[in-house]
Amino acid sequence: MTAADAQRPLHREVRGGRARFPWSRLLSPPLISLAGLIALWWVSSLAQPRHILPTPFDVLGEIWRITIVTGELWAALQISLVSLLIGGGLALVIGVTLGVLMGAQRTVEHALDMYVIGLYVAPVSALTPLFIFWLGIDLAPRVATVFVFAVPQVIITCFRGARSTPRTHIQVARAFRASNREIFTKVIVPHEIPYIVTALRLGLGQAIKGMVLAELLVSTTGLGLLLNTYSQLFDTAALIAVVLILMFIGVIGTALVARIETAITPWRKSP
Amino acid sequence: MPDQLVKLSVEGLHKTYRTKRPRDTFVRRLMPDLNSQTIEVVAIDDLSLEIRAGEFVSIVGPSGCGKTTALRIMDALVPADGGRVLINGTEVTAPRPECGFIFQDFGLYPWRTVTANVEFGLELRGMPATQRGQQARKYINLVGLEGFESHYPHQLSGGMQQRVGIARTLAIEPEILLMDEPFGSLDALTRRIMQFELLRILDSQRPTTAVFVTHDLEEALLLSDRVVVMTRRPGRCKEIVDVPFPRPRGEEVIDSSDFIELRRRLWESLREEQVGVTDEAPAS
Amino acid sequence: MRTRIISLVVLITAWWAGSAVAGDLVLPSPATTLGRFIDLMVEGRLSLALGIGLNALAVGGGMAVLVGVPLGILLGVRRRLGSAFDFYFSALYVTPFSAVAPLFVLWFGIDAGSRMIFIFFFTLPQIVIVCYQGARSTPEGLIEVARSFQARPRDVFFKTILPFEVPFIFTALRLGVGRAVQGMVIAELLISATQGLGFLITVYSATLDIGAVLAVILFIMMLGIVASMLVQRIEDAIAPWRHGVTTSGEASGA
Repeated sequence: MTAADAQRPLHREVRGGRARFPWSRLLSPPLISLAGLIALWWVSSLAQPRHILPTPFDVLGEIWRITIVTGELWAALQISLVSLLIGGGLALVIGVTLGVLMGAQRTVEHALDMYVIGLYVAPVSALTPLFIFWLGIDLAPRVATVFVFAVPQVIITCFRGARSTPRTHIQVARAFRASNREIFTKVIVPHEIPYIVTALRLGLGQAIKGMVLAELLVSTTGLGLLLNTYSQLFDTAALIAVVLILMFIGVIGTALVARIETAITPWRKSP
Repeated sequence: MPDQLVKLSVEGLHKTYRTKRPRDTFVRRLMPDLNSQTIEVVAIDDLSLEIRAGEFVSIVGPSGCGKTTALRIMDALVPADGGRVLINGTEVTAPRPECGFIFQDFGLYPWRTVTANVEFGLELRGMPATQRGQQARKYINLVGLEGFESHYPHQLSGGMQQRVGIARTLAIEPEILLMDEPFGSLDALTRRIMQFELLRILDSQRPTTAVFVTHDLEEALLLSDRVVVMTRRPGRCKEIVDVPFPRPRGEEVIDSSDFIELRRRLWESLREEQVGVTDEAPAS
Repeated sequence: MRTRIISLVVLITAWWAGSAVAGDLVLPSPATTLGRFIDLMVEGRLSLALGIGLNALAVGGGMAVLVGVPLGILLGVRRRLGSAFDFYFSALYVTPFSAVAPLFVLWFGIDAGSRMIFIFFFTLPQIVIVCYQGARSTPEGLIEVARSFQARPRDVFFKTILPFEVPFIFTALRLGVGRAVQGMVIAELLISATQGLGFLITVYSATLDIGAVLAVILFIMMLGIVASMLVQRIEDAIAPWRHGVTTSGEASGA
């Protein structure tokens, strides 16, 4: 092998691969299809009266109005958010605890798994009218609904996490003579953290759905009141506006938590 | 030798990969699309080879030297960035019916039985069912799997699964066999057994031209007529060693002094290449 | 097994105790609930409501399957199309779909047809996403094998991608059934029905017949569970080779 061979580069860096704005991504398929869809919407709306199919611009106007001008959406969301935070918080705390316990102890698992899977698969929306009867029409039934929507998801995700701690990891710790507490904090907890974040993401989605459903059934405050008012006023544009905003919040929220998830756990291969 | 027909020839092959170097701080990981850096890795640089009809040629080299990539380019499973491959004198642009490829991870279809897997290539060629069945049975027996025709892959051991893979490829009766570390996923004992099995199977099929990629020097010497040593990445042909043991070859070959001498020679050649290999970009 | 039985006994005992404490009006005892359940069955109200609900479920859910499976596979196989449209289905999936109900009432009214459409759009994203991910995750190795045997694109699709997809289709069906039942209940609660199981809940709540409410709710929940289990059984029977398919752990929520 010659000296020249020994110095042959293994790789070379491509110029211009650094943080430039990816203009070409504006022409990406999703954005093109979005533009197409909006165009289709606009064309169809021209033939329809405003209370059946408002134009994209009507809806845009409504979005502007309810967010910036009157701010009524934020006011409603603030009220709704309380039930989300309380119910979701409870679901997280109780769910993580139960999930990890079930993963760690077979007895606990066998005692509870029927109910968890039952709640996971069954249409829990059927429970909300019952909650309304038992707990009134204020905050409580909404919190209860958010809770039962989110908790099965959190439990199952954390259960999977606890169950999946690789035996070898624990055995390595024992071989280095770690105490039980050290095993818990240095092996099980780090393993569990990504699952907790995932549980947060999935549980959040479920919690929001519970929140909106409860609001619609209780319908005296918050989003529920807003949506019912718009219905009665035949303000289709406002209804569409709310749905789009909720969709937007859901997408951004989920994506953000997913990003945080991957950033916290660089040791995981991409899903 | 000089008059023997050149079955497969590789001329000036060149292949480059582009990969992204990942970012390693929390904030940069939040925005991977804007923060990654593209690097170009040259996997193969000006590789040229000639494989003659009926000969068994192994390609060995350090990790990441591009030997598996080169093999895949020969069957047009991966496109080359420069140079060309000729089979029977014509350029290769798509996977050829004359070629049979055997994969390292077997690549069996889990929803097909052993027989159905072996018949796969024949099915694609439109062979009628009864004929397919006969052909499949012939090769299932050849690889020593009679009795397992109705088994599913997950019910078989690694060695048996690879036999199915071999039977599947032999069933289409290719002129050229391309094998990508076929025994790499097996344990040492099974690997040795399979090596002798392969010798036995190919002896009954001769003359088949074969190109065999491996990192196991003894395996290469046991099976081949010639061994090609590749340099480290970017890979090109470093030297070619003749392996003049007569066929059929038995177990005594491994202990002969000529074998040991050749092995030492290959090892010396490879060791020069192993210095300074990094694992940054995808392996070959 | 024993733990499960004990747990069940504990639950029913707690229920009984709770009903004794709170009074039969607020929390009907298990016996009362069972009694009301039998009444409803005998009167035929339950089967009638179920029939109506199942009708919307079958049509809406069935359409979602018929449309969703091929669509998901198509998007998974054709990368361009997939990247153009997968966003919509993910977005629909994380949206609280109940918020759409008032809109549907405005557009389609409050009859069975409106609920069918609701169930259709409610179930569709679930099915599309699972089939999409399945088609996309066909291992490169298996496709390479087909290509090395000179398979045409058509062969690659029918002999490699599609068979690999089968377990995913079953998963989509199983999750889809659960989701469709959810959708049916929500539709009946929100798209104010004059018939159906959700209607029964509303009516009996209003007349304070909580025993009946509990009976209907438990019945609905059993329905969802049984439906899922059924599809799981069918899947196990048909696909003995099921290669470690993991599903995304998402619930069939609202």
